[in-house]
Amino acid sequence: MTVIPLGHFLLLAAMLFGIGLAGVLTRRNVLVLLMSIELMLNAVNLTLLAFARYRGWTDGHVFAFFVIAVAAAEAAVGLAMVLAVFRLKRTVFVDDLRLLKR
Amino acid sequence: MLHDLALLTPLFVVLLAALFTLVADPFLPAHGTSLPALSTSRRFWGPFNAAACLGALAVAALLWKTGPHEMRTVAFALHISASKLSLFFVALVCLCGAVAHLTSPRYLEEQGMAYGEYYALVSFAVFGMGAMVSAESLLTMFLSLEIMSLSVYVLVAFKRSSAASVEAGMKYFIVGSVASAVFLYGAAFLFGLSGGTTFVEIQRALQNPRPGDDLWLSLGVTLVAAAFLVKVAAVPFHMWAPDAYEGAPTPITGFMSAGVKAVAFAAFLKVVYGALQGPGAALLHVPLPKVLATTAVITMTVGNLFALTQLSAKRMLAYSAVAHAGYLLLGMVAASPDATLSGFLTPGAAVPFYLLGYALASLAAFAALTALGHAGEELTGPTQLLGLGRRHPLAGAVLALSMISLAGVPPTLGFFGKLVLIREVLAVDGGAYLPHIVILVLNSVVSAYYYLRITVHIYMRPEGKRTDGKNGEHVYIRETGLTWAMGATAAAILVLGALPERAIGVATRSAASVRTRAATLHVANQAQARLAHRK
Repeated sequence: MTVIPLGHFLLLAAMLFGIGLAGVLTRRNVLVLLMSIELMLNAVNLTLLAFARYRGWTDGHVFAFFVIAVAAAEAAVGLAMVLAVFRLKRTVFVDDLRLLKR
Repeated sequence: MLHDLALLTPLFVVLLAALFTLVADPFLPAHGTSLPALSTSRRFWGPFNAAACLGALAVAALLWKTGPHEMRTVAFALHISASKLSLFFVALVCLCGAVAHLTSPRYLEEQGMAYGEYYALVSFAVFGMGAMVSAESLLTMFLSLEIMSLSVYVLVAFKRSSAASVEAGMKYFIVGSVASAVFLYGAAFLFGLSGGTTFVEIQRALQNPRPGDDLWLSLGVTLVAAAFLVKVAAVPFHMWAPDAYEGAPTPITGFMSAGVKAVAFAAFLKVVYGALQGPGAALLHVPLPKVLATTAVITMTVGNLFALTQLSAKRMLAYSAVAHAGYLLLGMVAASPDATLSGFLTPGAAVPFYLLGYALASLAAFAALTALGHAGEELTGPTQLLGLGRRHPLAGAVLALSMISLAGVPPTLGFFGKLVLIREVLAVDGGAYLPHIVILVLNSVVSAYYYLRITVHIYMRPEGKRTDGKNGEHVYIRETGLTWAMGATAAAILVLGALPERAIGVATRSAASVRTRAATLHVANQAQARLAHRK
């Protein structure tokens, strides 16, 4: 059985990170932005785990657990903020948030 | 274990205050008015948490004086430390927290958001900041960065009834989360390089690099540096700063512009230069000092040009914060362990000392602006500042003094901050950064215009009409805590400005702890080279 080399995992993670970043930069729906940020964090997890698995380092697994926990906390704060915005402005599109631009 | 815990006492003091506030607050009756948002029963949480922050500051000072030797300050399996650099910045963020707590209570009542969670969140943010500047590993740094950031996102959006505040929080949250993800991605590469997350492990891995390590190092350092550039609001990642600063409650704006900025620079210093000491820099494909210097010049110029056109004092100070981030980034060049400082007595003091001066001036300015808030309005526009010196002499004087300090006019701390920074950057690599310094000085001249314009508004113009008071009279927040905060920060600017040697000495000793290991390595290498030469 052939083993998939480390580089493949890292490339996949880099692509996921790139998709997430492109999503944050181009999409206008706040919920999609939150999903894109989650994608970026999961790309990081994949990178950490690939290194940890291939080199036999356990610290990477621990780091990934912390990232997952923090991502959950971040999503909670983010969704609460979406809710606060929606209550006041009835919108989830960032283009409608331009009160402060002058 | 007990020794490890004892080193982190300042952080635990603040954390306990935050937890107590959070747990005890629901049991408080909402007496006074029926609306909890308007009640005065939460007022004492401000002084309570401020006392905890000042207590933590005192403990940090005690640890500085009587703590263990620098080599024994690392705790919890090399993940966190109470080195002089950590303690200096822990004390600084505790000061920022104390000022935020003291200035908030009446302001929150005026704005109709006097909830107890506010104080708990500020204390949690102080705890996160303290842990971040103490972190010696990427994992600890990430966790404390998130503790700080999540608290500050919520604080920026704390005025739920205001579209501006919620919008500011949303924008800050998105940019901040992306920055965290970028930081993590960089951390993942540095992990791939070393197999560990602590700076010591990264340094050790760089001693014997394997093929391919230079790529991981370059990627990791670039991404981590980019994340920090977002956090300090450097151009082109500065767009969030004016919005977040303007929309946030005024005490939080001061807290962010002083505390969050100081923390980001301290952590930047620790990661980029702590992990890169010794042979690391040679493996790096990115000319980091040059990139930082170029970013610095662009940042200060853009920040100052935009600040010139702002009418609201709050938004003007936000752009001025961007400009100051530029000055500080140039100071980072001198903090690099690989920079050769020819005959310089206080190496590395520039960034900590400048941050001290900037933080005090910024805290004083926003404390004074807090006094202007009234009945749900911020009232920091140009007309509201007219004749402030006569109507509220203390706020007027403190605001004017902080403007003078930010502009860098001689009798104040801000002047000595710029002086030390310029002297130090000039000493790097035999004056290689002279053009950057010239641009910095020109920028300071430009910035003097908009800082002193505020002073002119305060003292030298006829009073404008304020429309806030019922019969057209002027209403300000007058409160003991706010008065103390304004007085103490202003006094510190003047006293430290008159006697800067001590503060510079403290900053030098704190910076030394990031440079010590590098200097030891450098000296050892030089001695080895000399021996080889003789043979």
